Amino acid sequence: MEEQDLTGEIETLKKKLAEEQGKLSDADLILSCQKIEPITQVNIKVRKVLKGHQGKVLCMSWSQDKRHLVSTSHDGKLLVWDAFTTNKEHAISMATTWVMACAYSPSGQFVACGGLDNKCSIYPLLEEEPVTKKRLVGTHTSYLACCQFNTSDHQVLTGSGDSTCVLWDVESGQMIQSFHGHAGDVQALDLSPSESGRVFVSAGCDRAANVWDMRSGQCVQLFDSHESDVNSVRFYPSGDAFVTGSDDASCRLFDLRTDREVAVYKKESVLFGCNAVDFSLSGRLLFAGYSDYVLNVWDVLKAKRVAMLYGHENRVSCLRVVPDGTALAGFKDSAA
Amino acid sequence: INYQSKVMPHREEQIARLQRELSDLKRHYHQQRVRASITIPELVQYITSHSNEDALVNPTKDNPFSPKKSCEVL
Repeated sequence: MEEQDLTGEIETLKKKLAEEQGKLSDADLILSCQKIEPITQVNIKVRKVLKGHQGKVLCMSWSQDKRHLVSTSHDGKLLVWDAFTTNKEHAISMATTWVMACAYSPSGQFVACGGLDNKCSIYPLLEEEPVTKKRLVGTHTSYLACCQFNTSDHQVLTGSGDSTCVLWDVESGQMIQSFHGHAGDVQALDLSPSESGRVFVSAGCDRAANVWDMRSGQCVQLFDSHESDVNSVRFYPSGDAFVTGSDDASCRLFDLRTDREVAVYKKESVLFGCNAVDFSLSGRLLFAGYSDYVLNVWDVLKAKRVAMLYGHENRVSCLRVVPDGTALAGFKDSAA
Repeated sequence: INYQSKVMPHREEQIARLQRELSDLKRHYHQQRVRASITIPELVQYITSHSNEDALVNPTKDNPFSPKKSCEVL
């Protein structure tokens, strides 16, 4: 088929898809929640400051033990922290700079990470010198932007500047499945909390968020309403929706079952790109970190900002709510 | 310079990419959808039923991150 015919068919089908999606759009999230009590105050205080990185912190991940976390920086350092005591338990110097991706394994025994080296490597934390027992999990053809362990220590899902995501087997270093469909660098991914091991969402510089079937490698849904690069994506705790954060200064909530964007979190005064998003445990609060030194807290059901958290000297590059929902860590430079 | 060999692979790649985009779009189009009047109340219900456990919405006394009291039993 000729390019023009294909492009024409694509345009026609996009319009038909929008019509189908519109037919089932018989309720509005914000309107449905008018009678719900608004959030009147957010009592969140800075409790701990984790100082130790020299360079810009690019990524972080909590351990399932709800106490440890790993963070990586642009100068090639990986640090493992005890967030209760603020002690650093491990410091690993990577062979690469710009370590944009890191993940704590479910058992807590390993951390996976990578960046400009195009590789995803894994370090065993129980060893005397983790750096000597480093193992290569997989290699992309451009930078590693994000990674997550897939339900166990044995598989890692990666997203890359080469526009693909790949599911790797840790022991063999083999590619189990690859995911092609983004038209630009992948920036972020998140695994479904309800369809564990079967579904994940990725987002990138093509302004799109793609939902994938992990067994077939196929893209099953695509949402491209953002107006600029999408930097961050997180599933809603029930798994039925996900939120994105973009350079267009907005966060958007997408309902997977009704197959539509159902809320936009933006404000005229919020002008800077959003780099990181996460939900509180129940999904009521949306935490979003932006390039203007601020962490905005949004009431998900009212699409209103309920708090602004300061405490960082610079761009908030990554943030994560701890698995039991008791705290939030956000990084930029040396502080959390 | 074999101009053909420089142009053709790129065009073939473009066509392959567009074909994949079209087949992904067809799959998306044929997906089963659920009415928003069903899905939205369920999204909201999740929040309301978990709000009590959400320490950042309803702070509790056992905050593992807050400073310990000054008196400790030794």
